[in-house]
Amino acid sequence: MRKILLLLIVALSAFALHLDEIENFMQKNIDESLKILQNAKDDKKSAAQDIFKLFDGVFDYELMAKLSLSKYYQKLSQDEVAEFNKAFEASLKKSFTDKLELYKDQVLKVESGERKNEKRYFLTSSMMVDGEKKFIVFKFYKENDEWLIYDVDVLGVSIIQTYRSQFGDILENGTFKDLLSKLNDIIIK
Amino acid sequence: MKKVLILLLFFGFAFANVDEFEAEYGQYEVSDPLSGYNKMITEFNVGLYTYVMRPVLKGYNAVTPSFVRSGVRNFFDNLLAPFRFVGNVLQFKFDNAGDEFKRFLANSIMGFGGLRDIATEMGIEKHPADLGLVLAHWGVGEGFHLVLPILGPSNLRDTLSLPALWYATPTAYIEPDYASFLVGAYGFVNELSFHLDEIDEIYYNTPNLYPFLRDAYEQRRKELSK
Repeated sequence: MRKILLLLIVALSAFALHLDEIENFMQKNIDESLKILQNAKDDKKSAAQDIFKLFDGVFDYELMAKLSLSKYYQKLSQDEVAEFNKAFEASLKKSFTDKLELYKDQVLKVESGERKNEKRYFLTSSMMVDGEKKFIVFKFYKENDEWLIYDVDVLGVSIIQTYRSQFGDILENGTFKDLLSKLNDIIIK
Repeated sequence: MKKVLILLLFFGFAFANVDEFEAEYGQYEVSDPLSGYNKMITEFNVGLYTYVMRPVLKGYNAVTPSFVRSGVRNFFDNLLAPFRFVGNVLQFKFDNAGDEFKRFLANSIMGFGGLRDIATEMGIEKHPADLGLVLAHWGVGEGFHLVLPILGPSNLRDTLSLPALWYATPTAYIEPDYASFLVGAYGFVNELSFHLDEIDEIYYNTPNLYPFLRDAYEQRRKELSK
């Protein structure tokens, strides 16, 4: 048992993204993602799968799901949490892929990173759209010397913040099932 | 004990301190006493877009040559460059104001009166600035959120500052009044014709549209006014 756990820790550490690697890692994978989309033609689903193979290791989907539900997360049963996490991750991936698809002909360039505090690092990237510079900020947090993404600001708009408002509004006026069905309605076509 | 430590270390990868994040997001607030009305107008706007504007704009895009749409877009955009220049000066963003000045000169002279956006081709950036953003930069609060028919998300401050945008546009001075309105509306609709894919994506693929539009609008305005 001990050996298995140690092996798991070593394996996870091997994928861990360190602070000095973030800029290169992100620029390389953003370039790769845009290439995948440009070559994808109509097969968006397979393009999305290829893109998320690049990023799965750095997005903390579980934490993002938890933050998106805020206080409502504690009220869910274990089964509901599992169901929500799955639906949330799928919906988030679709949303990202669609947004990338809209801007696939632009160049998203990593500009600079800023260490906000001991446990936060914001990586700013930008692209030119119709003469205007638009910013996308990837927000990383540190956990056990590993850096993971917990939110992305697109044009100054926090994805997690908008999810919190959307989900909070659904749950105040409806049920967990309503939320789940709204999330499941969004699938990659 | 060792096993417990190893387990703790292992699960440490999965559990971050959520309280710190809650504090981060807890700072965000938006005043929305008219949420019922706002949701209703949002539904109206989505219906109007789906059944009237979208089909019309799809038709418009199909029959209008791309260079005509771009020319119209660039022309209207160039007319607002002096307004953006003043807006940036009033926010003490002098570099941005300088860019707007250069853009206006380049597009007016070399871009055939603004029909071609040569400034963007030259790498001169555009910097949005309107009266609402100037007021926000000076510390005027946004007031409550307000969704306008056809125009979409806004707030009290930005709605009250809209007449400034109208009167800053030279097309407002065309006589008679209805011609001025028609020209302004054409500029608005032509601009929309470039954003159908983006609007489709947001309108039809967002789990809960109204809170998303509200937050996206308010956060974006905050970002632009910094």
